[in-house]
Order: sequence, then C-alpha cells, then structure tokens
Amino acid sequence: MESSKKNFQKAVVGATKLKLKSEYRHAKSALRPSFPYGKPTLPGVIEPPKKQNKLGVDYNTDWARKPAMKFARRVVLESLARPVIHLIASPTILGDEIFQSLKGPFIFTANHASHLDTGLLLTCLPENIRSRCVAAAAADYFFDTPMKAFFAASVLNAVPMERLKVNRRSALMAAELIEEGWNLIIFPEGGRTPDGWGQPFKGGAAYLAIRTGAPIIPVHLHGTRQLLGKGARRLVTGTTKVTFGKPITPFEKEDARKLAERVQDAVACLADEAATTFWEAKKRNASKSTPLLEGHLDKGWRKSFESYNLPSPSRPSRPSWPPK
Amino acid sequence: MSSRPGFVMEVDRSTPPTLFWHGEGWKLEKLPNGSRIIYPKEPMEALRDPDQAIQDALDNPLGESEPLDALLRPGMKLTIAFDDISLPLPPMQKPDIRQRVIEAVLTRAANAGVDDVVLIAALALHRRMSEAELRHALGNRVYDSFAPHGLLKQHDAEDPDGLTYLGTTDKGEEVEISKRACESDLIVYVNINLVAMDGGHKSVATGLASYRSLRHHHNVATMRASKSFMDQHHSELHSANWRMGRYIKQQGIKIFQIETTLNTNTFPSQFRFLQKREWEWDIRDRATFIATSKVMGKTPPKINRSVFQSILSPHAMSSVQAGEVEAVHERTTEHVYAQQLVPVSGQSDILTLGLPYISPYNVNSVLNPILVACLGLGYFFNLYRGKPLVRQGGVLILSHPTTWEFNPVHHPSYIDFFDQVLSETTDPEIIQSKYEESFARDPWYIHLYRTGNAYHGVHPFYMWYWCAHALEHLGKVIIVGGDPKAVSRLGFSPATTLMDALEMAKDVVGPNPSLTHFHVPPLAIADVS
Repeated sequence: MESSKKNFQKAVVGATKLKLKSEYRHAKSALRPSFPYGKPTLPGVIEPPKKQNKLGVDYNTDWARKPAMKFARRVVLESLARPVIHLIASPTILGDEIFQSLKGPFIFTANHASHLDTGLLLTCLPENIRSRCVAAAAADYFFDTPMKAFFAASVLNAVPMERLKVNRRSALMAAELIEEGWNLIIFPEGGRTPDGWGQPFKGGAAYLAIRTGAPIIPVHLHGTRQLLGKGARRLVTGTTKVTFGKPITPFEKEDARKLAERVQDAVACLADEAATTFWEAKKRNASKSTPLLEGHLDKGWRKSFESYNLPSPSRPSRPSWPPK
Repeated sequence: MSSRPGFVMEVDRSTPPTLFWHGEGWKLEKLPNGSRIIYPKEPMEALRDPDQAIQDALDNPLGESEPLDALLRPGMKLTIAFDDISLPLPPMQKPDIRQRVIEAVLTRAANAGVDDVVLIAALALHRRMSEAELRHALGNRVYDSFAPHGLLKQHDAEDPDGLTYLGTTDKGEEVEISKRACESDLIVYVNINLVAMDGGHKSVATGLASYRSLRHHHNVATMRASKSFMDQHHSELHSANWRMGRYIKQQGIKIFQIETTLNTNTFPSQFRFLQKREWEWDIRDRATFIATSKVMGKTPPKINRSVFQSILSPHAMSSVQAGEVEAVHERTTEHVYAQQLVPVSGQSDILTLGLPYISPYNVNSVLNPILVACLGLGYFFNLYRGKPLVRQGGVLILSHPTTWEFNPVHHPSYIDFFDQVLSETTDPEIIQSKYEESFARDPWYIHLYRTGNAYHGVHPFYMWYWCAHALEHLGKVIIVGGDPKAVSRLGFSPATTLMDALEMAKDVVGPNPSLTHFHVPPLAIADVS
C-alpha cells in the first residue's frame, strides 16, 4: 500500500516536471523573436552545418592588419608596451645599426626562452620596421581559444604557425605576408627552451627565406629566461641583451635544412658575443669553437643544472662623472 | 571552392519564411508544409584572368573558323556588333564584358591595319541607348574613339537606306538585316549570354534585323511552339533564327561570333541576402533585410526605383568562346546550363514566383504591367527544360506591385496597347491579327523609335506574345499585391496576400494542391523530368 502510494507520488512529480519542461520550451520559443528579427530555423531536410574550426592554424588574422587595427596597435605599442617592456627587461641593443643600410622585409629568427621574447624583440626594432612586423606564434598555444587568438592577433600582430607538423597553409600565409612587405618574427626552435639551452632550429624560417628571397636577420635574446622563463609564475625585472647579426641570404639552390643550420650557427655566435665580447666571439667563430646553443651535454639533469652557469647579462657600466 | 549545386527543398514546420521578390522590394512568405522550393546553384567560379581568356578565345576559335588575326587585313570593312542595354541584368559593374572584348578586338584590328571599323549596337526593335549607357557598356576609350566620328551606330530597323533584303529561307521567312553588316567583310558579334535563350544565330538574325524579318519568328504561333525558349532543341524561336542565320551565312556574310557567359553573382554584397538561402542568413543579412524593407516602406516609389536601378551587378565572366556561330553557341550553352540547371522531379499544381524590379526591357525605366506579364509568363515561366514547372491547367501566382505606370519616353506604344488593345481582348491571336500591323506601321511610333529612346511600336505586342505559351498552358494567373485595376486589365486575378491567392487557386486546381516556389533571381533553369 505504502509503496504504491510512493509510486503514485513519483509519477505525479515526473509528469509535472515533464509538463513544466515542455511549457518552458514553449514559452522560450514564444519569447524568441521570429525570423527575420531572430535567427532562422533550420529546415528539417537540411543537415546542420558542421562547425568550422576557426581557431588554431585556420584562425583568420586579416582583420588585425587593417589600417584601424594597425593604428590602434601602434598606439598601444609605443605608448604602453614599449615603456613597460623596457622598464621590465632593460634591454641593451647591439648590432641594430645594420638596419640603416638595409631594406626589408626581413625574417627575424631568434632563440626563444620566454613569453617576453616577442615583445622585447619587437620593441627593440627600429620604428619603421616594428610597425610592419608580424610574429609567427604557435597555432596550438596562442590560437587555441578565441580570447587568446584575439589577444595574439590584435596586440602582437601574430599569425598562427603550425609547429607540430608541416602545414602548407601556415607556410603559405607567412610567405604571402612577407611578399606583401611584412617583416616576420619567428622562433625556429618551435617553443621556449625548457632548460635554458637552445633547441635545434626547424626549417620553416629557412624555407620562407628561400621562397620569398627575404634576408634572415639572426637575433639573440639574452636574459629573458631569468625574467619569465618557461614554467615561471612571476615576472621579475632584470636586464637583457638583444643582439642583431648580419643578414643571411640563401645561396643558390641551397637546401632549407642547410640554411637553417647556418642560421643556428649565426645565433650561436651572437649568443657567444652576448656572453663575452664581439671580438672573442668572432675569434671563436673563426676557429669553429663557438659554444653550441644546445650545450655540449646530452639531455638530463646535468644539462639543466649547468644552464645556471650561463652568464647573466649585465648592464654595461656607464662611465662615471666626473671622471676619476 | 566549388559552388554548391541548386536543389529542391521540401518545406516543413521548421522551414523559415521564404523570400519573394516584390518589384522594388521583397517579402518573406510562409509557404504551406509540403511545398517545394527550387534554389539556384551558387555562382560558379569566375575566370581568373578574363582578358587573357579573351585573347585565348580569339586565337583558338571553335568550329570552322580561322583565328581573328587571320581574318583581319588592311583595307577591309569590319563591323563590330554588340548586345544592347537589355543584357546583362542588372547592368554589370565596370568594366563591362563588352568593353573588355571589344577593346581586345580593336587592338587586333589596329595591329592588322584595319581602318574601316564601325560599331553597331544590335538593338533590333529595342530602344536606342543613351550616351551614358553606351559609355558604360563600351568604356570611354572606345566611345570617344568612334562616337564623335559617327562610327558608333545604333541599329535602326526602320531605316530604308540602312537595311538590305537578302531573300527568304526555305520556310519563306524574309531575311533583312543591317546594310553595313551585309557589306562588311567581317562581322564580329560580341554577345553576353545571361540565359540559354541568348546568342547563337539569334545575335545577328534578330539583333540586326528589321520588323519585316522579325515578325516571322516574333509571333504567337512561334512562341507557342517554343517549349521552352531556354531549350534550343525544342524552341521554334531558335529554329527560325537558325534558319535565318544559316541563310545569312549562305549569302557569304562572314560572322566571327564571340560569346561570353556570366556567373550568377547577381547582387552586390550590400544585398547579399538576396542570393542566400534563408536559413543561412546571418545577423548582417537579417539587419539589411529589415532595414531596407522598413526604409523602402517609407520612401517614395520613385526614389526606391532610382536606388534599385542604380544597382550594378558584380557578375563575373565564367567563360568566353569565339569562332563559328553554331560551334561557339553549343559551348556557350553548356556553360550556361552548368551554372543554371537544377534538376526537378515532376510538375506541380501551383507555381509561385516573386518578380523583381527589372526585366530586359526596363533598364533605367519602369516595369509597367505589360512587362510584369512578360517577365512572369514570358521569362520566368519559361525557365525550364523538359516540362513546365506547373502542370497544364495549373495556376501561376506572381508577386509584384504591378502599378498602372509607364515610362512615356521608353514605352509610348505600351501605353496605347494597354489602353486600347488589352481593354478589348487579351487573346494573343486576336491581338496579333487585329492590331499588330497598325501599331507596327504607325509613323509616330517609328519616329520615336528612330530618333528618341522609345521601343518600337510593335514591341508591346511581342511582350504579349512571349506570354502566349504560358497563357495557353495555365488555368489561372494571380498577382499578389498588384494594383487590382492593372492586374484585371491584363486578364489576371489580383490577390491581397499569398494565402488569399492560394485559396483562389484551389478553385482551379482543387483542394490540397501541390506547390512549387521558384527562388529566382539569381537565375536558374528547372530541368523538369
């Protein structure tokens, strides 16, 4: 008797819930404005369109290069980003005089240790170059959510680049941009260093240089890992050194892999210069004894451990006044 | 990316209301469940380099024809004839396809040292084009090179000194065309093929012909035997033109035909919703629809008309071929069909059509009631291959304001035709036998045609004959939202709403009728099996 009463109550509650649900649906559809004020309904015979993945490498960044966005980015870069980054990273810039005699577009290839790298490199470029710069950013990291994609495209003028596999679309897009006169910042290691040592350079930048004929400018960024390295939770202030190398143009019929190796050697030489002096680095380079970016040890704790022995950049001492 | 094909969709509960053109405006109508809607194919990809495609076509002619360069020589007489203002619809954005082709032909003629070149707008009995219209079609460079010297002519089908009678075909059809064309060593005809009916032998045999010649195929019997105009092999209109064209060729007149096709990218991006399927309208499309509908409801019709008439279509060239007329036209028709054919299974009791603001005969003008009838019954009804979309004795429902309004400059004889002829009878055969001759020979209409910008006196008759096949086939024609007086004068039934029209149609086709809505323009041809 008791159980049948409970069953009856359950049935009543269930029926009420169902009725409320259908009433709610009905009320909701009645409240929804009808077409064309509201969205059109889909005819029963039409298959719902598959949602196109507009993120990742398919994210369209054309809007970020429209004049209005260029102007807005310029304002943000010059009035906010540049002073803040220079305050945080206090960069010393070496070798930037090369831009006085060269005409772009360029492909800037740098070592990669921190999220600060793009901003730092961008703000250390001459004004006429940084205002026409796009940055190749990892499609799977910077373009995986609408918010991140919007931020990367609008603030950094980033374009998605596939780093996990060869992707024709991203390579073509980058090549088209270079051909349109945009300078490209690319980190050929494909990601930030996990241990402070460099990683082998991938061939993307070299391929683009061969395809477009744009010269590669090797760049070494020294000290950014200490400010905001991979896995760091806090941003700290410090000093950095940005060293620009001489432009590298591909030889006739040069293989992208060979060119990538040359670029890596050039960045290694700049790393040496940042740690020592121009002259010492040049001498070591001439004797082919430039320290490798990847270090001389295999992967493992010892390599990571040794990375802490890498010299930190220091601000060049200013001559005191009055001279002693 | 390839364009999506046209298709037939069955209306169900969740199908959003369907767009109906309504003259200089549009409406959304909810069609009964179970109705069919025919959606056209999306615009095909345009030629990447149309100028290069033209050069290639001139160098590689089809059929038994030499390349254009081989046909040009110093001292020859060259006539370049081109399609008039009736094509394309709406007029296309600059540069017009005719300008591209004619500039290419003239460049070659100049290189070959041809001095005697005349350009002729192939008007047939259409109105003369204005300077602005000619400049738009040909470009300033061509216009300024020829018009000041009197070398840019508009065909005059009533000029006794400007026509040559060539003889009759084996069916007794008289062939009389432009004297200049006959005397030329070469006619280069520059055509635009918007629908499958255009082009082929019709270009010269109709475009450069006189009334004496045209009446042999622009008559009730021919129109009724053309099922349809879009199907060359079942169209008596085509057969007659082909006989005449072949006769012209037999007389030693050399024609180098250049035919072009356009994709169906008909409306500029501001009006992109007009060529989208309703369930794909995004917020911008819906906002445009609402805003334009509201604004057009408030502004005077004249302003609406001038806005609509100023629309320039982004049509793009989808193919170009040149050479011998028949070989060229065969290839052209393949391209037109590739863009426009939509397979449809079976006929229905009722066919609904929304009529737009424009037809071939009211560019920069008013779509008067006779042209409304011609557009609905002559053109859109005939957009089929195989069988009409509506069964014999079925009902055609058109949506158009059909105002009692005429352009006295462009359509003077239409006014009298509407007042004097249609008030007596709407039977095409009686109209033809009783009234045609007097309008065609009327000296005032001829004067206006030859010196002003008026359509020929007989033109409204031809418009009515275009309807002859549909009038014979249909049980009833209803115009939704039309001026009742004007609609009644046409012999059709006026209805206030689509629902009223459907109720009225049931009296003819019985309860529970099947209904097909043809979602044009953009243009499509129903391939009805």
